[in-house]
Amino acid sequence: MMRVVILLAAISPPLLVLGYGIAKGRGSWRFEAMWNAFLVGAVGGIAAIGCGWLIDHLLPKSGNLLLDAGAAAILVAAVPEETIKFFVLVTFAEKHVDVRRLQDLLILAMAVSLGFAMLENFFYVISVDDWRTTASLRAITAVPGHGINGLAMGALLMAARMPRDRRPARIRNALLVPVVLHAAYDFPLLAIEKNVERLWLAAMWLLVIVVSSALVITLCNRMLAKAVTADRAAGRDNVSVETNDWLIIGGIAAVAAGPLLAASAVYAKGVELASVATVLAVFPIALGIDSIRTGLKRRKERFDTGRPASLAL
Amino acid sequence: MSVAQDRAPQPRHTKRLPYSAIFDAPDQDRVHAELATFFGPHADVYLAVYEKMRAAEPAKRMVVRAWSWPVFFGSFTWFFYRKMYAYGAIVILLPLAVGYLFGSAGGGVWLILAIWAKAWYVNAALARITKADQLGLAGAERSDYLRRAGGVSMVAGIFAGAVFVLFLVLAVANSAGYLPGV
Repeated sequence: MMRVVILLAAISPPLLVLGYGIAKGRGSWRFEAMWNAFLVGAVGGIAAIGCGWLIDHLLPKSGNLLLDAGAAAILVAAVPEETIKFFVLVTFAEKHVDVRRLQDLLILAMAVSLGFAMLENFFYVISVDDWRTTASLRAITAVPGHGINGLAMGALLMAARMPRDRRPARIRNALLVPVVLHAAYDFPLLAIEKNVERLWLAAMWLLVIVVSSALVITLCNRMLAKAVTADRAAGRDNVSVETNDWLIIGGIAAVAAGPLLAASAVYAKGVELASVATVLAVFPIALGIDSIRTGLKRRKERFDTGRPASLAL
Repeated sequence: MSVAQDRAPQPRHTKRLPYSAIFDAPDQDRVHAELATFFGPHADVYLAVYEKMRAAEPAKRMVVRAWSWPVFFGSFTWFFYRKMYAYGAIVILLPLAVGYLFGSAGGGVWLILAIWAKAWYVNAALARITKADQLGLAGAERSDYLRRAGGVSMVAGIFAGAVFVLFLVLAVANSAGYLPGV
């Protein structure tokens, strides 16, 4: 029975973040292409483990702890993981016959990224004794971090596929930006693991999370507005999918549950100032606030115009 | 007729079985042409499975057995090559979860896959034809839809093949004691 709980603790956070992506892109849980992307993304996770393991063994160690942490963050983690996600997105997911809207690319990118995160989370959570702390902390940091990377990849791929502003060279940005974000997230953590000065690195890590959340969510909102306009012009905007209320409810849940989860995980370890740990919940708070904001704007437009809102973000 | 009689459940034999409209369609040449468009290379192999399904009793059409050597030797790589990505991924991921929960995923999985894979593939083709009907597609647009939904993907086959080789290497390394226990 306990193993079922552990399994659920590993696979439910990626699905919750995916719910945000689906609502944001006004998609549906019944979207077959999305499940394909999610599952193949998870298979990509297995391929990435193999690549990461191989590169880690081939990579020479310099002896400089910061340099080694930087090389590992870029070459062992960020490059293979984001490249495999990008490959799955453009080779399998995007080519699915049911993908008709530009907005679908955002959902697919998040699905690939979170399928990947699900597999990674599964291996992390089942391989430690203290699975509760690992599952709780990863649910508010690494898993939504993969979601943010997927959001960036999807937004930039949408930008590259805009019909009136098509610039194929932009496709490379959809790979490069997530690689940079991923490396920036992993570097302080890997350096801390190597016992380099902790306080500055921890502060740097939090700064990376705050800045990447703000930048990616802003970028996504801009690109999504353009994608909705393009989809509507092409007659491919399915305004019937109504997700406003779920965006608001999910957003409130994320803003409330994220800090609570962080504080409880740290408190369970016997740390007195557990409330300080709420700062770890930057990702869920950022996604939650954006979710509430998006839901309220769409709802307002629907009441103002008397028709289902789609352009508002 | 009373209300109670109106609400009585339909007898089992009168319920519509999946894809019965396609199996019973008078113009089977058109169905064959559409299935061949979906299948792409080696369509004749899968058209034979479709005919076997048609010849079976209606209730047993969806569970027709047809042995597949490529699936027996290549496992999930065949599903990826045939663009059945979700099936291929489930074949990889489900044993991981089942193995974690129960200690073992069972050794007979490959045999089951080899027996049922072709029927699943034909079912996937029939589902696409049904969806093309629902979308109201006709002519070139319909052919294009079926061609894009089906066929094969060499890139996906190579990707899955790489994962397959990785699994084999891990299995050999594990049996030789090179991998640390979890």
